[in-house]
Amino acid sequence: MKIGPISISPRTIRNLRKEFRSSGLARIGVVLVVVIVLAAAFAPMIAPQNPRTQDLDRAQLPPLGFTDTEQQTRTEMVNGSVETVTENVTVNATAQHPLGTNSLGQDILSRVIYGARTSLLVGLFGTVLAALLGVTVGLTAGYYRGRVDDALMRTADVSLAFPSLVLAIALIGLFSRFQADVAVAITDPLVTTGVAGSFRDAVGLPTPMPETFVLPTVVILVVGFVNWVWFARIARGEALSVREEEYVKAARALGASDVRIVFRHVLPNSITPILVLATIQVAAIILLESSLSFLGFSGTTLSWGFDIAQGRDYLSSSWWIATMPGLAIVLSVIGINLVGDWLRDALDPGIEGEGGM
Amino acid sequence: MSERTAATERAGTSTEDGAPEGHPDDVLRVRNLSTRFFTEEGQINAVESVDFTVRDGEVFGIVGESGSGKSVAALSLIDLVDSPGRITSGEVWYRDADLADEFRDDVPEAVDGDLVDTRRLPEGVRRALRGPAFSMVFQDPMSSLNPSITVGEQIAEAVEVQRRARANPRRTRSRTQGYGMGRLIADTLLPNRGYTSEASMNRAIELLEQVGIPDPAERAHEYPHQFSGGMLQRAMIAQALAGEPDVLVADEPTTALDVTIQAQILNLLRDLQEEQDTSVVMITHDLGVIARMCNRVGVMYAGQIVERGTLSDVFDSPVHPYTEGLIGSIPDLDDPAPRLRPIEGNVPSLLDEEMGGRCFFADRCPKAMSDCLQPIPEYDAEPGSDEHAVRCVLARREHSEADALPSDHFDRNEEVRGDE
Repeated sequence: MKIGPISISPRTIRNLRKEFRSSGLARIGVVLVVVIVLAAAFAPMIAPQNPRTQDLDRAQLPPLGFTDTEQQTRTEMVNGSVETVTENVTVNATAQHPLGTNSLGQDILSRVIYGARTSLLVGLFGTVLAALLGVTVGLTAGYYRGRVDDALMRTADVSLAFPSLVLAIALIGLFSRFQADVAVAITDPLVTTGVAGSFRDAVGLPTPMPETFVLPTVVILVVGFVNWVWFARIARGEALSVREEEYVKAARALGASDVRIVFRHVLPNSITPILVLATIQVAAIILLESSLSFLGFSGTTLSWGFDIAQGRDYLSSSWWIATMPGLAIVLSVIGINLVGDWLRDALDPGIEGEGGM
Repeated sequence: MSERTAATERAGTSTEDGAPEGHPDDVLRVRNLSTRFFTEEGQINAVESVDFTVRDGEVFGIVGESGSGKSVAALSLIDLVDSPGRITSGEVWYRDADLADEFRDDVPEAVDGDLVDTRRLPEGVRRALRGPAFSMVFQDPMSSLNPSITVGEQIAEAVEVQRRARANPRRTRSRTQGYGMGRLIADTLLPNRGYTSEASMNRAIELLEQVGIPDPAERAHEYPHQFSGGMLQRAMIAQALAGEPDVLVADEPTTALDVTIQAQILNLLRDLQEEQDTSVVMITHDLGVIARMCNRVGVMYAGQIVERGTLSDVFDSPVHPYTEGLIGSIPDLDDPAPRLRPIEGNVPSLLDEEMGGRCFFADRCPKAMSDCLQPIPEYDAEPGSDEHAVRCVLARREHSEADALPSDHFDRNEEVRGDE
């Protein structure tokens, strides 16, 4: 199998398969990730409700299997005088809202499904950006060494000195000055082509789904700029060792240019740890995105972190509003980390054992 | 024709006004080449004023112990010395009429007749010379091929680079063209886009066949780990030949191989060299290899070439006690009785401050005399051909017991070395 300049040997595939069979954790991770990816991809088809539809009459409904008692206060005419009567009313869950509704009556399950889109897209694009930046910087530093190395890696160290959340917020402030749109609305092809609509009609789900999906571009840029350092460090270390290989010397003796040597010889031979780091970074960036949107910096309202922030005010009365998106974060991060462990164990036979997260 | 004026002090010879005199067949003239490493322990003089010439279609051997600077000399030749090392002085004159014409006006001091001093050419041109002019075969074939690319593709890539360079004589730029970030991303996203063309791949298969790999068309698609050591060394040689180099530098090409494979590889090199009229610089510590392969030889010790000449000059009438010692430490099949005579002691560290201005071999030399405590120039040696040169006072005078240094001289005089 061949992906661009990097070829995957049959042995690697065999290792992946072997490790997958022998490790239960790997299987759990893959199942979790596949479920989340599918949910995110087909969100307009499977979400039970439109995640943005508000219905205050149905606010704070509990998830299936739970009931909630709610104090209702109403004024009543009793024996000719107006009295305020307080009574406890039992609120039952309904099948239309399997995970309940939030304070605005929006369906939590639908919001969790749509939130997976935000998280995964930010996680993926953010990781790709961080990897492109970090690997380029790291390979340059490691290959040229000396002053180039010092300059680049000290810059990386400086950005490491800031706590990542603080740095991210500062960068958001900076980017927002130059770019008015902190988020870009992209149309949802499944909805605009009508595929989702006809599917939902056939299954009997309510139809009008949001036609656009908001991609928080600034957040993607920012998480990329915050997390590139890790890629730079790994890539530098690998480049330092690979550049000393005889085949690099041989390539130079044959007249290969530095660019060619770096991309053709150094990069493919340093790719394994970078790949493993990338999977773990997806999880880290999902967490960072959730933190940012919890703090209100995300630019989209369909995000796990945003929902948690919203549900925080109701924790004492309606615990599920914050808990459900929180669970989604936990499961996706665990899933992605387990996949990362699986890749590491399979691609790097030198490291034995299950390893932590 | 002598390439030297008799017994001049060569180390200090300035050749500012052009290429040094030499044999008309010289394809390479190395003059006064010094390479130093600037490490934390101090300055290491890995190569010290090395002179030699390589002629068209000959095998020139460089022989010496481990740590004598052979490999660094080879790397200096093709300008591959890596930081903290640096070539501090010297000239590497290479015969290339086209290149000479190209630079005659721009860099007149780097051109003399057909010869150009590669050390004075711009960096891009120097890189362009690697491949078509100089090429190198390394010591360890197992690690000299990229494990993530098929053998055929690696060779094809070398072919492709030369092909593009030839098609577009703006040498320096043509090689990097189409190989940058954009190209990498395109290659990653689009399947079946390779750098190498089919023609280059076919040429690679041809090269593999030429170096004696069976089923070259199939083996070309295998990865280096699927090759045996001998096969890999053949593949390395094929790759080095891809640019049809004028000078092939073979840095201990057989050290990592077992004896039968060694013989095969040496025969292969010999055949290819005769077929293609390539000049070979053979670097080895194995006198047997030298005797079998080389036309002319340079013996290296502590970064200097201490004795050089034709094969018979060095083997049959050595002047330098080090050369004698090397030859003396080979077992004699006809008379296996006596104990081997090793050279006592070790190669010096090459640290600048420990070297001192004397013959570097004096502390191990059985014939050291008081004359040896000054820097020794290269002298014409009497016996053998007129190319025989040696860095030893014994070329000028007989050994005499009266002047001999006491055996503990260097133990006592660590502090005062070299300033008598």
